Amino acid sequence: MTKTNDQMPSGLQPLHAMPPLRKYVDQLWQRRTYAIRMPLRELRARNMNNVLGLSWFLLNPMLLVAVYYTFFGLIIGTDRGVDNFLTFLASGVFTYSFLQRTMTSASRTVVTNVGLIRAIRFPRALLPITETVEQSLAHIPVVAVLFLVALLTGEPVRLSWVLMMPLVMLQASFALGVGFILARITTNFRDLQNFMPFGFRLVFYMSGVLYSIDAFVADVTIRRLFFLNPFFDNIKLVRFAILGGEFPAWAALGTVISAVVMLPVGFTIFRRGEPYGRA
Amino acid sequence: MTMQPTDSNGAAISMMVDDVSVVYRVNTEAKLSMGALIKSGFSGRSPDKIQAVKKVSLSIHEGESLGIVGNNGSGKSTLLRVMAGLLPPTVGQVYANSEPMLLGVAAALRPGLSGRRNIEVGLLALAIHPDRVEGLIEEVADFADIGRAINRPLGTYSSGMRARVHFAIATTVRPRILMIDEALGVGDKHFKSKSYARIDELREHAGTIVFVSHSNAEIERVCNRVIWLNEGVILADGPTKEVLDEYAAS
Repeated sequence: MTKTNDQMPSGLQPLHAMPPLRKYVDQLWQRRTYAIRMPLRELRARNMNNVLGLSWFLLNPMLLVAVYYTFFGLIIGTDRGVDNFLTFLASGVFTYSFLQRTMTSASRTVVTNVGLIRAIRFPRALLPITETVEQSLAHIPVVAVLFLVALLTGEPVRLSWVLMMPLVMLQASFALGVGFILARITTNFRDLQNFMPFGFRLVFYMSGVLYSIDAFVADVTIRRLFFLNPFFDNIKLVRFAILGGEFPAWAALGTVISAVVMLPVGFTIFRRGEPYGRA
Repeated sequence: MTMQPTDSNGAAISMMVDDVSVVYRVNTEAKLSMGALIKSGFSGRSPDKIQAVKKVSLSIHEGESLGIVGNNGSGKSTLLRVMAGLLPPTVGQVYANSEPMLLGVAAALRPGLSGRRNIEVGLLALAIHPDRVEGLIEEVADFADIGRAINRPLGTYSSGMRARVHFAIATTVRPRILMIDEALGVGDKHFKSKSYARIDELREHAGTIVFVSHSNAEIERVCNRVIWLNEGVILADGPTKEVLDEYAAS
């Protein structure tokens, strides 16, 4: 039997235990510079071996939207009921892939960094956090491309564009919260990583990334159900910020609630999984 | 005043290993026949358990340098990692009066980043204050002797250079409880003597040392107490000379 904390002589602390919340957060705060500088260095080095180097941060989203536009805009024609389909599409595709990429990569951090975990002691929540910072920084040029697409397709510069900054932060918070939960599950159940692509595919189709639900879903009740999906809300709100129109109050509510609730919930679930790195 | 846990000699206990067991779960490849497949529930594997450490308990006091000896696969490194707080035991707990640090060969370096950036990020990962990091980068690079290669990606370094960088980063922190896993001297002859000197510095600062090594000479030089681990169980525990003699006679 192991001794409980209060039976221990003072001065000795258990090494393999979940530290109290306050201490855990303090230890994370001490390492905040790591969480910012590590991603900066990593992003700077990432495309060093490519001929086009750093321009890939802009080229990548451009090519992505070009492919989608060719197929869904020009060939299939899901542009029904949308004035500026290219910008509509770019807003959806960029926002969706940011959320998905952040959740997926954050969920893998504990498993892929097992070497670091077995070498240095630190609160493991630092790993998903650092990954989210990296994805968020990498998303900045993508947002720049989104502005560019909007301008090129004849949109005026809108005051609501400044909303993109807080919106990306809300998206990052939502994605990190989900990433925390997926990371904890992955450590006990690796198979989750095999299920995830299918889950995300389903979410992708249910988030109105490629089409306007107003034009494609006739039933009002079903249309309202879409607002329960935070992915849909986030995309809807980004489209409002870029393209203007009527303020989507329900989507704004969904975006804020999903971000404010998921982050602490995910963090708590993740922390309760400490210590990580079991044999 | 708080009570400090002490032993009969009056030295405070700095670390206590309490009934620690480590079981590795491994999946071995099952035979690929229809019968075996059905038996394994179409997973194609048969789970196996390896008990690396079995019910180990011990206390270490301030001022003690504990050596761990034993054959390959005796559970030395596993036990050390559990004592360093890096590998959670399957059963049991380890208590310490300050944060232990492991000096090992396994690195957390990133091949894509330059030497400079690896040092920077590595120091930050060790929770060294950002204000100090900038100044320390040059110092660490100097010690690792990487010269102008500092701006090259780490992936282009020779294995010796990489080991030197890792050693230089890891020995920047001076823990009160120091854990050392093998390979004290890394790199060439010149660097080896430098690294021995650095380790001695750390040892002087540390109140407690736990040291795993296959070299009896190194153990004798560093340790005043030795445990002999065999198949995850402590066979002997006592003064260095006695236990080493017993181990040699086996």
